Amino acid sequence: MTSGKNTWVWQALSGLLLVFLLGLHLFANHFMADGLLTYDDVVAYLSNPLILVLEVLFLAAVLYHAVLGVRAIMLDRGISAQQERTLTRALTVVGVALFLYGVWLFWVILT
Amino acid sequence: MNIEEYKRPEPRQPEARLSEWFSPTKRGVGGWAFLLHRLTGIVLVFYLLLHFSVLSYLARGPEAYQAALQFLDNPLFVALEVALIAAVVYHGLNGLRLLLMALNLGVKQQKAMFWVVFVLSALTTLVAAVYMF
Repeated sequence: MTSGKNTWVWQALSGLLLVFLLGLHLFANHFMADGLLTYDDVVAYLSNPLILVLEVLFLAAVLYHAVLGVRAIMLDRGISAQQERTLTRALTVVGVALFLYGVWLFWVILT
Repeated sequence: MNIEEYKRPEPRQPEARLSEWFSPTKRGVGGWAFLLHRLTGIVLVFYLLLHFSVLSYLARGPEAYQAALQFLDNPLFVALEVALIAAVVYHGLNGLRLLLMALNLGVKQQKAMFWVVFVLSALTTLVAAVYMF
């Protein structure tokens, strides 16, 4: 995870990326795939390689942005440098774990 | 890095104490925009975790997924989804406003931009609510 005083730049860039990725995610889910209201629809949806790439990118971007956001709020609460290092490590672990969980879920659905 | 070095584009509010987040004093339009941005951000983090847990039923097979969707198919969750749309749209549009300000664009128009963000969010939420109910 990015550390340092320019973290907000990464927050802004990932946020801008999310405007597009969330837009595509919602459009694909609700208007191309009609809401994914059955298991078979989900399998068919994720079987499209372009969709799978979109969803994995979206997963990564949303977790990165969320983790940076939580970190920014905690920093504004005023914590020591040691606490900040611990926080950054903990949030990195949570973010990576959730990413791997999401990828595992895609894999389980497709196999 | 220590806390003094941390910089962000918004003017800083004295928010080290949680109670100060909700203080109505010494808070201009930009301050309210920032507070709403944070609150919607926190809501979206919780929704993200909820989204993960609902989708995790997919790992248990078609019946489990169907049961989860059936559980969510009632007016309470539709109302919560409308609130979610409000949070997402506000957070996204205000994020674009913050990005413009960070690029030193429209800093003088930041209050007007907040009201544009606010009205667009309200309208989008209204349209979504009509469409969903």
